[in-house]
Amino acid sequence: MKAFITAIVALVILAAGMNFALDNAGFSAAEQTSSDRNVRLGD
Amino acid sequence: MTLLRVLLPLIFLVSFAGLSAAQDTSGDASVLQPGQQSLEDIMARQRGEDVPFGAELPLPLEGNPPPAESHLGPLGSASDADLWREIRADALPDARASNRGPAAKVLMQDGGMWWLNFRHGPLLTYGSLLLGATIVLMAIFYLIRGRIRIEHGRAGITIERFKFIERFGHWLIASSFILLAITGLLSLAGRKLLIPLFGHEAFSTFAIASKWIHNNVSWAFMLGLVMVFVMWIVHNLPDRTDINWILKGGGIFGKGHPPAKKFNAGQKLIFWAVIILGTSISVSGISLLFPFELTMFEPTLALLNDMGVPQLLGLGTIDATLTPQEEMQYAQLWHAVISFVLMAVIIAHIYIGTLGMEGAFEAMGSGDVDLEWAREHHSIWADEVVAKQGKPASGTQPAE
Repeated sequence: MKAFITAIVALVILAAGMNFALDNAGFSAAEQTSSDRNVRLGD
Repeated sequence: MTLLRVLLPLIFLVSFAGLSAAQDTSGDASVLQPGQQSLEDIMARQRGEDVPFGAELPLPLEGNPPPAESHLGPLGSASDADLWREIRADALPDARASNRGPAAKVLMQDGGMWWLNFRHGPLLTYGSLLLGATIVLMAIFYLIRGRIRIEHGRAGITIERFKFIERFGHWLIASSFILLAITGLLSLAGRKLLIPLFGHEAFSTFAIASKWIHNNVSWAFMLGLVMVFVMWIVHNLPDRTDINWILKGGGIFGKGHPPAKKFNAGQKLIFWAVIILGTSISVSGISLLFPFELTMFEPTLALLNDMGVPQLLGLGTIDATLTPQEEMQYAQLWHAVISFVLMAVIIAHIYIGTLGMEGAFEAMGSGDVDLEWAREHHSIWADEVVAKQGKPASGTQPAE
């Protein structure tokens, strides 16, 4: 049972952690094609 | 007289010009151009009647010039049909879009309709049939064979089968797989099944959460996959005992118990299915997580062409140029198809590890298994453990 609970905790930490890390590292897939970061307003 | 001869044809011609002007209806408000609304249409719509825009009028044939004067909005009909046709066909050589994605300049992707129809049709149908058939098969097997009991009863003594780290690795990949399977099925079939039940608003919340879970739990799955591979590859290499085990059908229908080491041939098949299919799902999944970054299908198709595989199958050379959208669509299909296969395999694995066999779950639950169970199903491994621990090799000493 302990191994299972530990695995669930690890899963949650990994999921939240990777989401945070990737978002801050600029790998948000949602922002790749539709955010205002990529709009060339000056052209 | 000469003057009349000159003037008369002129008058005649001018009268014809007047007639042709009467035939030119483009400036006439009472005659509709194709796609144009009439006042009656507008009034009917205001009364609440359902009037299709430009109803019952044929659209102009391709290449017909727009009418010279028209009542369609501030620019009139000054639309460059050729320009828009090129944009529609993604054939405009120097088009630029304000967002930078590789697919930004494509308004309608012709090459994608087959994928959309396949995803909503055969993929969903046959995938669900596969899962349903697996569940039915397990049910039939349970009804015929029943639960596989420990033949000689429990010994009452346990030996350690899996350490904490092994069980942790297994439960990491297992629980993440369950979450990924459910959220993945929601991504594929959710719209079809849940919107009629819960409506659009509730489903939207569901779907957003489902996507977040699927994208982020994938990392736990991949870590679990690596752990399981590293820990157990040594015990899952095929050997001679597997041939004997398979020939005896694992003893699953007979009374015999063919000898097996730590993992029997059936478990080795599960292991390699998880590793190979899981890796494939992970790679296509990473391609989907980082859109338009990984090109895998185009070089694969090109390699297949070079190796002559499609020619062997009588297909001729496959067109190996894929647009970015097609690359992603192939990645999605591959991801879904392989996932369905792995889900079916895991359904069987969950069955045998829980309901299907007495004494099996303890291996992953507490890590310690009954000695008699071990002797019946993994005799070679049980003897090794017993010899190492110096426990009684045969007969049973019930714990006091």
